[in-house]
Amino acid sequence: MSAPPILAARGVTKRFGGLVALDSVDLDVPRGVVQAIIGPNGSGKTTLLNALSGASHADAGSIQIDGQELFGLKPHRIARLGLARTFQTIRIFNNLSVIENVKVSGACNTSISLFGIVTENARQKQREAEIEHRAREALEVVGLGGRANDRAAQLPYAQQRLLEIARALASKPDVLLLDEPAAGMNPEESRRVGETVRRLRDRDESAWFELLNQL
Amino acid sequence: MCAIAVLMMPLVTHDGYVIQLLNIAMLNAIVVLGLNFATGWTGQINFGQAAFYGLGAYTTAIATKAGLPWISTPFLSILVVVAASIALGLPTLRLRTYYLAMTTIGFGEIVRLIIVHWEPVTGGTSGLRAIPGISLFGFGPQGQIQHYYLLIAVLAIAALVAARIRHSSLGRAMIATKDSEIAAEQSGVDTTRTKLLAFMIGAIYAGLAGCLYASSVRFISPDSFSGIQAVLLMTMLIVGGMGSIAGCIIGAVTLTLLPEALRFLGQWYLVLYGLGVIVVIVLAPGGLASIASEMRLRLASAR
Repeated sequence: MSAPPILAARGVTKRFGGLVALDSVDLDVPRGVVQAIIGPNGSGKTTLLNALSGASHADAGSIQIDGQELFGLKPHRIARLGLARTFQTIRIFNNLSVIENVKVSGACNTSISLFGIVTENARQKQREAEIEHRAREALEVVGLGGRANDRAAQLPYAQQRLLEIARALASKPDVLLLDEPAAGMNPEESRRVGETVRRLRDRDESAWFELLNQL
Repeated sequence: MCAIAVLMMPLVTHDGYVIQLLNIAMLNAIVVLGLNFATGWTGQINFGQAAFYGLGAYTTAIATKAGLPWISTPFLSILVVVAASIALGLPTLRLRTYYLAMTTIGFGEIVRLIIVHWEPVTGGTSGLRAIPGISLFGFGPQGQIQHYYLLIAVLAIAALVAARIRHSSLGRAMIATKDSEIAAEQSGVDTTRTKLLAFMIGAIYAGLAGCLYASSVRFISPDSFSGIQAVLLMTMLIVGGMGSIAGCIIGAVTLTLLPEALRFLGQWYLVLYGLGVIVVIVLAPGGLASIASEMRLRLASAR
C-alpha cells in the first residue's frame, strides 16, 4: 500500500497499576476501510479506544491522525482534528433535543463569538445555519431525520445508539471509532447499524473502526 | 395579557413598599438568571453568586461615592466580577460537585469578610448609605415607579440574552457539559472553557444586578450578600425550575414576595415558607415552571 494510513499508532501502552492493559500496540488504518477489533471481555478493546480518543490517555506511545500527533492532547482537540467516537454505554445529552445533540459536535470547528450570540448578527446566523445543515445531514444518514425535535431521552435504545453515530458523524471526522455499536440490539437492529456503516464507507473517504465483542 | 398586568402594576398598587419589593424581586431574578448559566445549564454548583452580586454593588457604591460618573459603574462592576470569576474559576472548575460547592462557599465567605473588615472603604457591618442614584448625563429614574419600569426593561434584556445564548452553540455546549462531560469533550466541546464562560457570564449578570441594586436602593450592607443569600438564590433556582428562563424569574419573584405575604403569621411564616419549598421540590422536581408546561401538555392531550 502506497497511501499513508489515516490513523497510525506506535507503541501505545496503558497500565492500570500493575496490570498492563495495552502492551505496545501498533496500528495502521488506511483510508476508506472498515476495520474491526475483536476480543473477549476485558481484552482491552475499549481501553485502546479510550487511549486513541484521549478519553483516558495512554502512558506511552505515539498516535497520529493524518500525520498529526495526538498523544496527550485533550479529547476536544483530538475531536477537532478529525477523530470521532461513540460509547459502549450510551452517553447522549438527555436535556437536549435530538438535533441539538448532533449540533453539539457539528459546531466543533466553528468558533464561538459572544458578541455574535448576543446581537444575533448575520455572521452568527450563518454559523448556526451551517451547523443546522450539518446536523440535519448526519441525522438523515442514520435515518433519524423525522425525530429531530424530540427529546433525546425519549428515543428507544436502538435509536439512541444511532443518535450517537449521527453525533459522531456531524463533526465530519476522518476516523470514526464505534465502541460495540450493536451492543444490546436485536438482530434486525444490528443489521441496520451494519448497513449504515457500509453506506458510510461507500460515501466517504474516511476510515471506520468498529469494536465488536466476540460472542 | 401577562405583560399588560406587569406594566399596569404600579397603577393598581400605590403602596411604595410593594413596588420596592417587586424591584428587589426583579434584581434577584437577574441574579438567578445568571446563576442558571453555571448551575442550571452547565451543572456546576455555585454558591458564590451572592458574592458576585455584592462585588457589583460595592464597586458601584464606592465608585459613585468617590465622585465617578454613574455611567462608569456598570463597566467597573463587570470588570471586577469578571476578574473575580476568573480568579475563582480557573483553579477550581476542575473540581466537581461537593468540592466545587465547598470552594464557592469559601469564596463567598472571603468576599464577605473583606467587606466586613475593610471598614474605611466598605463601611464594615454598618454598610454604605447615601449612594448616588442612577444618572445618565443628568437624567435618571426618580422614585420607585420609574425604577420599576427601568428594572423591567433590564430584566427583559437579561432574559432575551439568556435565551439567545441557550439557542447558540455555547448554550448547547453548556448543557452537553452537564449531561456528559466526556461525551461533550469527544464531540469537540472545550468543557473547561465552557464552564469558565458560564461562570463568567453568570457573574456579569450578578455584577450588573448589584450595580443597579446599590444605585436604586442606595443603601447596602454585607447582610444582603451573605452565604444565606447565596443559599436563597440557589433555592429560587431550584423552586422556579433549573434550566428554565421563565422558571428563574418565577422562582425569584415568588420567593422574594412570599416571606412578606406571610408576614402576618409572625414567627410562624418560616415554617410555612419551608414547607412550601419542600412541597414544590417533592411534587414538582422540575420546579414551578415545569407545572405550567405539564398542564399545557395535559390540555393538549385532552383535546
